[in-house]
Amino acid sequence: MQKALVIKELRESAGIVILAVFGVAYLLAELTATPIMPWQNSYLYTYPFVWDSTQTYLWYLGGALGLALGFRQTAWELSHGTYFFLLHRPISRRAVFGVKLLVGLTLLMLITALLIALFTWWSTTPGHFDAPFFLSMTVPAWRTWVALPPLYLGAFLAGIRPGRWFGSRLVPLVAGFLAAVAASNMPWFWLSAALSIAASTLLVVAIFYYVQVRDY
Amino acid sequence: MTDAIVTNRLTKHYHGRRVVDSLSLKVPAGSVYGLLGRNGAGKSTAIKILMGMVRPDSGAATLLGEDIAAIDTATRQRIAYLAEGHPLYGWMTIGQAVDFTRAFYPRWNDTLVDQILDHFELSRKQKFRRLSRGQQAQVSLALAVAPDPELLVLDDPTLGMDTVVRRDFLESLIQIIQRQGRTILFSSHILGDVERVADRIGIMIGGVLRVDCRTETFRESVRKIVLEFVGTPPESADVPGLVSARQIRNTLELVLVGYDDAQREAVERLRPQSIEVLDLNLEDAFIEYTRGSRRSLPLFATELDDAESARNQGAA
Repeated sequence: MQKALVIKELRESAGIVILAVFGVAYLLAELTATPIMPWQNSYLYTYPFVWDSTQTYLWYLGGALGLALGFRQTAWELSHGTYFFLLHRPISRRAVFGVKLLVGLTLLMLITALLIALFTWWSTTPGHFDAPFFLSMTVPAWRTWVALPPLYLGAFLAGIRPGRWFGSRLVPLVAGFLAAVAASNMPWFWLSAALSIAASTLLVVAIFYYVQVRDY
Repeated sequence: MTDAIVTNRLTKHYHGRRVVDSLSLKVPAGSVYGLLGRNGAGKSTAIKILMGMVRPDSGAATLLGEDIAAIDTATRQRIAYLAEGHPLYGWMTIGQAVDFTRAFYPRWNDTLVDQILDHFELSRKQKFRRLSRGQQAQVSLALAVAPDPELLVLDDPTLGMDTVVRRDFLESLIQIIQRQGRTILFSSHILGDVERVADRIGIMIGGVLRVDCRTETFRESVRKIVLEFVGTPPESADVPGLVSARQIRNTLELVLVGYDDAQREAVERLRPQSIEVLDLNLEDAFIEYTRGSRRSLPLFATELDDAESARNQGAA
């Protein structure tokens, strides 16, 4: 039954994933100065991962993807009433939402990692720019990458947590965003990871609490 | 006979309004129970509480002997639920919906699904979002009965269907009931549907279960008494079991629950020129009963179980 849930979540996220893959291609073209659109630059101004926009682009990609997945997996089901079909199945709510979170987090991390991995591969390929390249130069990008889960989980919680009005409903999203910003600005990767895991754990606990107690 | 559904003073508030008020009912195993009420009466909320979709503020309930707050997956496999509007994933084809649902049940009757789909001339390749409301209900019914549930809970299953589709759907439902002897709880605001299917009815008014008795008991108990007067009829009528009174020129129409000797004497004390007692069909009885003032409505307590049930209602 978990397999059926995974397939359903993947199928429902397919549109978002396709858009995100286009986003990766577009941002990679921008970072590598390989234009695929008429308005993109064809000249590389900076060294890869050093003074370029990798982290900003990761924020754009990860932020948009995290928000889209988080709300698609929660608020969409609420607005279409499909929870009445899904949650009555003989499987615990923890398992249903656990699968949702697992699929959402996996997609978010894989797609954003794809941008970093492809750009790293391009940077390590000789002939693209006149400077040495070390893998350690990618650490700031990985710090941003590891900080993204709280943003997705904040959107997920905002989509499932009842609120009296729109503003208070978005509080978890703001909290997730602030946690992600804080985690990405830590001086060391391990500290970014630790902060991100701590914030994510709190958000997951809150998500499992609300899925049990809320009215559908 | 054991009870498939037992609720004890279930209560739910939304924004300070009590939408389900001390609901206590028992649905015997093997029976078909029609939960009636006008829009906003609390039927759907009561069903959502039973299905664990809404948490009650107070009270308790059991389904197939298990507390709804701690119902396990094995018991849930024996319960089918058709939510209002038949929510299903629009992107799925009927075949995908069948495959998805089947994954959750160790017992699954594919032959029955095929029979129902064939009966309604539905193809597994059709997308759910392209189906009419009636067809969506038919698919939902097929998915609900395929795991061979002991208890079927249907929340307004014929909502939005035209008369022909509704009749066809109900006849299929009756066949399924007769074939298996399942317990069915279904809500509706279409009295004809209930009359055809239900052994017992419950009527909710303003969140309170005002009626909980056999269908015939209710139909036979609600009577319209038409009193004709020479002059102007009296402004008030002090008659036991009075649901409503309506004055039209020189006649006074009383809707009463029951019509025993005490009521007859009370009516005669009004000194009418003539008294006509009319039996109502279920629909008229329902309309007249639910039209009355909420607080003054007499509760039905015609059988031992019903009397106990009536005593348990908060507004009794």
